[in-house]
Amino acid sequence: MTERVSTTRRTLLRLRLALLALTVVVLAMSAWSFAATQDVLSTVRDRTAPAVLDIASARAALMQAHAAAVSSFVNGGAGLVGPGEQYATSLSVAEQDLARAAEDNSAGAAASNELQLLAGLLTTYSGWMSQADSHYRDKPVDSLYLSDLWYAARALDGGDQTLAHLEVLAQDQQQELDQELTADWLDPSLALAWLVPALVLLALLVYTQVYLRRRFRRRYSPWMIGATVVLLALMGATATELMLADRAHSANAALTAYVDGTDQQSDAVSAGAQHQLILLIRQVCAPSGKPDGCGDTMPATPPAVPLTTAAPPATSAASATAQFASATDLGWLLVLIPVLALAVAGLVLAGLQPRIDEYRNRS
Amino acid sequence: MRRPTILLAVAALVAGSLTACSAAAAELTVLGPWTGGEEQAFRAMFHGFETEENVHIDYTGTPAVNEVLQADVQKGQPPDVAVLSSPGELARYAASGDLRKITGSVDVSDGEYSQQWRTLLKLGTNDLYAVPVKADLKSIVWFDPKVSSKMDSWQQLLDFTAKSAAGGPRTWCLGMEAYSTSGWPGTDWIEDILLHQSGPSVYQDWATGQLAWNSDPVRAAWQTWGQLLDAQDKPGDQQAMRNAALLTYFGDAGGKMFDQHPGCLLEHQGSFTTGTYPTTAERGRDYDFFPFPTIASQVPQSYEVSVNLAGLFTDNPLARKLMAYLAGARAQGVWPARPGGTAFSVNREVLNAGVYRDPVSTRIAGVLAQADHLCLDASDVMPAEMSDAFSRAILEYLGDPGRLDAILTGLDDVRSGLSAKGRLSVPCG
Repeated sequence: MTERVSTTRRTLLRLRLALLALTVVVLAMSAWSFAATQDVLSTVRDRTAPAVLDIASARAALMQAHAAAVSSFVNGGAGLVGPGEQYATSLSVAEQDLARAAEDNSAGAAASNELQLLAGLLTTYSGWMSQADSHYRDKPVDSLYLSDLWYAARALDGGDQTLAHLEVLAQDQQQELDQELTADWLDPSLALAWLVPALVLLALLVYTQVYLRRRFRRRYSPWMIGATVVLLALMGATATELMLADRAHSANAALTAYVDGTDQQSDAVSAGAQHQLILLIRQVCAPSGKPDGCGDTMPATPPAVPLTTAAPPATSAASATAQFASATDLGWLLVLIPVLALAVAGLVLAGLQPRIDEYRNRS
Repeated sequence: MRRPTILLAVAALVAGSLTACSAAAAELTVLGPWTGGEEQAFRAMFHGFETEENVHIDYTGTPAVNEVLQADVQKGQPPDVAVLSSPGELARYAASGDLRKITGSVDVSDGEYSQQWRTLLKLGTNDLYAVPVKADLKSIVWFDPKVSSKMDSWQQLLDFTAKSAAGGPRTWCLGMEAYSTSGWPGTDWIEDILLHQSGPSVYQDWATGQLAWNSDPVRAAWQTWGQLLDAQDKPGDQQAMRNAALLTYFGDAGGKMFDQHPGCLLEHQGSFTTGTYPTTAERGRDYDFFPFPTIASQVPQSYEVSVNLAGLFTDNPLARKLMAYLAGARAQGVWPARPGGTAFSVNREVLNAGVYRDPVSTRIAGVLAQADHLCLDASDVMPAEMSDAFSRAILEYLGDPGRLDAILTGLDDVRSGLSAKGRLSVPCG
């Protein structure tokens, strides 16, 4: 008889220990997982995604600046205003975008080096444009302002020059964003780290319920049912990280669509400017159609200008940014998760302690 | 008995951990100008050192190497070793005390380096400061032996240029565009003409800022180049050739020699330019070089060279060993031995080891390692402001040769505004 009583109490004590220990594990893993996910998504929202947008915006602004400057020289307005106000404003926007990208950069030292290099390349570009302005006002030396304009264009689209490095930088930032959204706690398989202990705890709660029913002939333990319900709520709260990750993936897709659309528009603007510039230079270096004075680098025919204007991006930058913000708007769950875990522990104790006390004297 | 056993186990564990820590590879930082394929070639150069010394070399390659180094030095966090293409820049770091002497640590014996190079590597001081990583020979003219031949006098060059202008392709493959440094291919012309017209002593005075741009020898160099360009201009097309040169990327210029109907016949360019020639063109068969001819009879045959120099910026003993390793024939031979490479070492042992695979390359390496008169590219010796102004002046001159006086006065204005402190004083060896 004594042996049987002792076994029941020992079992109850072991169940209590196991349930509390598992609750601690579930709390730790759930909180860790949710906090880490929130942390990554916050980094994506505050740094990585803005950096991707900054670089696309810098590219677009630079193309606008160049097109405006070329247009000013082609139309003759440069005699009064040089490359023009639009050029100065857009170039300033491009420089500010790159400065922000440098602040937001989370793609490491290689991207920092690229940004440093780009700052130098932009200085080269604007230097040639200033020189073109200066030579343009010195009318007798026509060829020099044209070669300056050509050098400025080459500083943009020449091999290993500004656009090539912007491309590298954009790829670095996009890869970083993709990596952040798929690695570590945003890898769906890592949800097992908190889900498995939670399921084990759930199973143990059910087992405890059954054990109490058999041993003490009570149909239900309301405390254990409460603990089970709260645990399910805790699991639900933690599982919202999967939903938030999904929102971030959707936001990334929207961001990619926006950047692609912006780049296509920039390419169209760039092709138009290059077309105008080459026609302008060829009027001087090959006035009678003879190519002798145009050298070996400039194409014989200017690039074709797209007949239709590139469609604006399907989504806006604000929309993409807002989607990333919505992926982090459930941060308050990080407070709720520990509260729910404490509630599970409290309900377990409340449910088991009276039964353990019943056996205290008999043991 | 149990306690000593536990203590022993703990001691063994700690010792093991310490051993593991000490066995971890040390790290050196190296900054250089090379990226892409050239970066791979440079990495191959120090790979043996990494293996032998169990050290990891963290190499950063950037075209903006001067700017990055300056920022690092100002922050007090320089790399252990930096490789610069501008000896003048390195000399300024030596003068400021940021560059470490390597006398006694690095062996540049007579067997490996000529007296000329041992002088140049001291950067105008009495101590050794730099190690050459790779070099290029300038003062040479490339031609297609099937179309033209070697010329050994300036008059021959002028006659050939004038004869070609009368009918046929352009004589000179000229391209001045070079992105931020557009104009530098023209600076090589002025430097070479000055060196071969007035001699190394005048060249040295001019390169180090002691001789004015408005001086007779320098003015004569510009005018001599102008005469050569005039000689190749077809009648009525006086400005067309200059415009073409202004609008042509320097890397596109020489390739026209190999068209079915050649667009030009001669290219005055450094040894690296063969990397821009079509891959189907074969060294020796399709292109060869001859030395830039002396213009004045009393001037010795001299060569202009450009070189990438490694300098030591920290007191790390391992970095000092790396400098010694880079100077040795084993490392020096790695880059020139790479297939399709256009890199040359100035180390004599590399030349004698038969690393170079064809007679043209061997002749270039022979000049670099053994020539009696070598001068560093003056643009690499001048302060950056001066060499930038020099490049811009070339563009101005091509745009309007009639403005030579104003251009030279402008260059002297720049020169007078520069401090002489820290300038490389011995560009010729």
